Amino acid sequence: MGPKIRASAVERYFGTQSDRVHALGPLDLEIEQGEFVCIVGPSGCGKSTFLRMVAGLINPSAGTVEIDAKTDQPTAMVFQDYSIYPWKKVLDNVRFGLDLAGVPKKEGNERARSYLAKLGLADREKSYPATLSGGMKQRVAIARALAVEPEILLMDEPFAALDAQMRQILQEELLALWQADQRTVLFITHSLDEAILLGDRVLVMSSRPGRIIASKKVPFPRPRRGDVRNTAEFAALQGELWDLLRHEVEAHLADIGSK
Amino acid sequence: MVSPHLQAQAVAETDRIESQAKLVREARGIDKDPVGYARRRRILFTILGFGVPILILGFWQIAAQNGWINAKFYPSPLDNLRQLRQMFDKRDFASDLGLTLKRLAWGWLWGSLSGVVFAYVLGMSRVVRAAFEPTLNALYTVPKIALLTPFLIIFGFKDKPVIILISVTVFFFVWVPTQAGVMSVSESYREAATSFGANGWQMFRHVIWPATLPGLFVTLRVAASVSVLSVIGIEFAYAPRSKGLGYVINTARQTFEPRIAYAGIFVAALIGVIFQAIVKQVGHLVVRWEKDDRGAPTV
Repeated sequence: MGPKIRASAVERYFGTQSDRVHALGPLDLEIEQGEFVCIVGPSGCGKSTFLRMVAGLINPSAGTVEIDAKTDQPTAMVFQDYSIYPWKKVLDNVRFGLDLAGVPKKEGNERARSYLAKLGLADREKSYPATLSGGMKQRVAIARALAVEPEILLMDEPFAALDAQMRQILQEELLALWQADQRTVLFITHSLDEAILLGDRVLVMSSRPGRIIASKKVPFPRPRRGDVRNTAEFAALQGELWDLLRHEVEAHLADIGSK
Repeated sequence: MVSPHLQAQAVAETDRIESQAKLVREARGIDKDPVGYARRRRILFTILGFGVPILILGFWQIAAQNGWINAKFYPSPLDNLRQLRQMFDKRDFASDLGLTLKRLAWGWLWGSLSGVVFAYVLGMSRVVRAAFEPTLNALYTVPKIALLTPFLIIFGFKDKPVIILISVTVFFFVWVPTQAGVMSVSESYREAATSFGANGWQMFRHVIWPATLPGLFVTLRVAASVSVLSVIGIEFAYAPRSKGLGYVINTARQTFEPRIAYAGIFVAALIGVIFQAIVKQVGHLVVRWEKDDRGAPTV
């Protein structure tokens, strides 16, 4: 069986002829079925662009992204800014992907409720998002993505807008949920700590144009919990990745400075 | 640096403030009884809303009675009311009013409907926009009242051309801002739907329509007042069967009866107020996720 996602010589440019920016690539990458892959890299390195390619929101300028899909709609995405709809109540937001897929409302409600329960929001199903805190909104967005039971879960810095405590809690919840059903996950983050805690593998991307400069297997066994942070191996891996990343962040800063 | 002397003075002043007026934070009316507070505020705001126009009318009445203003040109509110009653009794004003309301309602409805349909179709499809927008923009600048003449010739000297002309006027007031609203729906809302595989209809039903609904109701209120304006204006120029509110106001000019004109203007204003209030209320009922103007969630 081939990989779940295979990117071959993927490149992406933005802008018109005169002010064309080489945002990404060439990028070659394989992600296995059931793998949890975290991508870290400096700002503007094209990691979100790659995620959006997998989601089908944008196409490569060159090269291909192949997805070994069993269904028409293999991906579901969790956005950094939640992107849940203020005009839908919590339950309707979570049922959104199921509505689009034409799942009957009754069945959709049952599935949406079971994911709301898993994320501790069962009692808020009739609330409008305006009445929820940031952490709750992001749980709704995660429940919405999980409810369609996607083959590939895409997460674009999903916890970046949350406070540190809420981030830790949601990281643990995500770990528990993922360990239960082991979907393929592509997770973008700025936090090395988060990447090592959650991922089977951490990819480090270079500054623009983004390429993969390192791919590190995370050695900690599953099921994992937040306390792996306290081990020496965790700190060592974090240090190793930071050395790689610091070089790229500095390159990125120098690039900005020269303009 | 602050001199020791000044420092000592500042300390002394602080002491005095503490001993004389302690700053206390405690529950006030709104904190102790938020429900009752909200109810009292609602009552107060209602009294203010009706009280201010009543005061103005009262002052006008007194000014006219005491001869501070010329009652022939500015007849008092009570005179206007008496005048209005006479008009209902003597000249079958009810049928004028009925005809105007009918023209107004149909004109607003057709104009708004067509404006909304064009706004969403053009707003969501680049191809349709490229095909129709330049033509519509050209028509936008045509003074609509000038179309009355060809419309009367084409559709006959009946209500139909009047209703069509109101619709055409309302159409542009609805189409322009609504399309702008459709096109400014947040990219992140669209992308979230695309990422779940939404097709065009689903994008409209789940994202574009609800995202633009609050703005649409503001536009429909504007359209309500525009349709009142147009129906009166058109009836000034031509009123089928020589009946209608605009016709009554206009003939009052020829017969030099400012009282009739005022009575008519009062009725036109009342129609506008009621019409707008209805549209606004429907909007409140439909747009349940927005906070209302008192800052509280509507549900």
